[in-house]
Amino acid sequence: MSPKISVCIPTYNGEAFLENCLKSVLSQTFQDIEVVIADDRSKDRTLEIARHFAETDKRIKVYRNPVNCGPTNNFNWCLYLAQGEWVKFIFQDDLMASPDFLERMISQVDDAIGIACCRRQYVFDPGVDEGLMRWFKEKLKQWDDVYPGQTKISAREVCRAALDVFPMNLFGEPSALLLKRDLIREYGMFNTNFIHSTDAELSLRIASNRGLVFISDSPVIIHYHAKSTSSHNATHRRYSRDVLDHLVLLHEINFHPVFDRMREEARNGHPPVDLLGKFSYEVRMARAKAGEDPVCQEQLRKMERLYPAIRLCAGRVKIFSTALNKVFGKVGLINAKPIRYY
Amino acid sequence: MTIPKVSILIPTYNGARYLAATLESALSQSFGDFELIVCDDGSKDETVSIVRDYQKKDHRIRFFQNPTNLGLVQNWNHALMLAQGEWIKYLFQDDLLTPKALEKMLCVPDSASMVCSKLHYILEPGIVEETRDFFEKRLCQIADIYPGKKNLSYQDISLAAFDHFPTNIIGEPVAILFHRRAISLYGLANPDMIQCCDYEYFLRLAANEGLFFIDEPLVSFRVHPDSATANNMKKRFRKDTMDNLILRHEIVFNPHYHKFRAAVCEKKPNMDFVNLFAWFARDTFQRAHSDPEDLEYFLEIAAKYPAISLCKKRFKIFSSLFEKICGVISLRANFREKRNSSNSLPNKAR
Repeated sequence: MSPKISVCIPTYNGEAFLENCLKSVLSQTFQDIEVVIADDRSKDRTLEIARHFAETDKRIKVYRNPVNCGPTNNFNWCLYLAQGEWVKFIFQDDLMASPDFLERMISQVDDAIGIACCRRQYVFDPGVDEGLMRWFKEKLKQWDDVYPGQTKISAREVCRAALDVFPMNLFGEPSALLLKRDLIREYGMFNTNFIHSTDAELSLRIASNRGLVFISDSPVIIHYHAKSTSSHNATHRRYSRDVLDHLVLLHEINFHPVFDRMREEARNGHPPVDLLGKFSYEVRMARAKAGEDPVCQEQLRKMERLYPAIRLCAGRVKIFSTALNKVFGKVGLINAKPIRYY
Repeated sequence: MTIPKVSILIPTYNGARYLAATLESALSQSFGDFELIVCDDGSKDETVSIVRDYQKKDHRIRFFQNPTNLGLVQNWNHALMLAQGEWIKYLFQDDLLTPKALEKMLCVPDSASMVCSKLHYILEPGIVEETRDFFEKRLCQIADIYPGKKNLSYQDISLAAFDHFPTNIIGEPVAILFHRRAISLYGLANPDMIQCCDYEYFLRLAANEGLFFIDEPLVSFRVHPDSATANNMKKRFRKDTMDNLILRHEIVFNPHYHKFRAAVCEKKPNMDFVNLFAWFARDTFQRAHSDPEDLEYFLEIAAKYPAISLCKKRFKIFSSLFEKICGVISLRANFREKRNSSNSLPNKAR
């Protein structure tokens, strides 16, 4: 008999946090769970700790990936291994705030919607960048900032809010999400071409079609420290994270059939949002930002190979776009030079 | 709960006529470690009672009835979601397996994640002459393209698929056995397609993973007047042209096909996928004008795949001539620049 919830913990070099995380999971009052730990070949004692816990509790299943496959593939691997009706991600350094966290979440979810998201509380380590901390404290929006007091948010409202605050991630880290496993098969898994915002894209992909349940009374504690994946990316792969991820997200919203409703909402908005124009602009910006840096250029070229629409839109310059658009409708300049696509 | 090695999936809809033979052929396999999932999409004939009868005899059958009619593709996807086995085998309500099909298909190297066997076609009396002609003469399969080759790489598949586009070179789904991990890597079948959805799905898999080919007819595919394939031959525009357009869209724009594009461009360096697609999109748009229903359908699909309307507008006027002139000009300019720079160097040195 498959359990009600699969709690998935993708781990990598997390010996310092895993114990607390597992304790917060195992002490939940909701008992019908399995804990799937997929270790991405950690070089520290993570696996040992996980196995130690697995000996004491039969609900824990520990898997080790055959090769190190990176965080996003590890998330997908977790989804693949999960057997429960619902899937709850929790990262090795995050905590479920109270013992009735899962119970509250599962009692409020809606089967017809199939995706729920809870409030996030951020905890910062001393080493974290000041600017990042300030951004989280002052700028970050959660669903109850957009729709205060509302628990059920319709697909339409999700689209509208996502367009308003674009590209901010209202859903938060996967630790805040509770998904129905069937939906993952219907809408696909995490997109591995993202560096950082793969979770934002998956939650938007599902919620823009199905709506969302926001659970405000049981928070998850998200831990930011100098080495966590999020801040590690900020220092080392800024170009991929800030520019390319944004580009791919816009590409998916513009061209993927799943985002049909989102595009419709953008067309019918007041004022309408020109997603395609935004995308073309971002493509040109990405090229400019790559500049002469060979690593960035290579990264951009790789993305262009994966998503040929990037090159298609690069030549789509709009001069005096707003004024001209009103007069002539949509005007796009076309590259006279033949470009080779592959 | 033990996980079976193979899941045989039979999505059914009003298939009572041949279903018993199909079930019989699956249950009498020499390889026994499988589950048989029958997923009925609200049949109005005796399908349900036939399956129930067999379920009493054999505990490996798991029977599901969809609460609403999902349609062909979604019914396939639904069955795929229910599968638990390591390997997945589709079997349609009118197709047959030879007794050793599974056993032989599972004897493949571990690295292979997709196996395809030769097909044997059963042409029932009463089918249209055109359809019969198609299956007897024009059919082209991998065995004809790469005779005697067993282990086909993704490059082989991509090139063959491109050269014979849009012919289905891989064959009907019943000939294929694939590993479950493909679902997590490449997703499910595309429900926007009507006729080509199976080809698109298996091409997506094969163009990434390669294919292991068994040159022996292990399965039979029945073509009869009521079968889905024969029915689809009737409505031309929707099922041929539009499916073709979506298939092209996926090949040109979907990141799952980037290996396909790279493989083709390696052999044909001047290949411009987007331009080909733009040409086809315009052509389809013009053809759609002949019938208001077709046009409506075209616009509906174009709204779902915005790249279609984007490319439709992308006219290249006098493209070949224009490009040749531009090419010559740019070549000359390059040459002049080079000459200038080689002249200017010694000047600077002085």
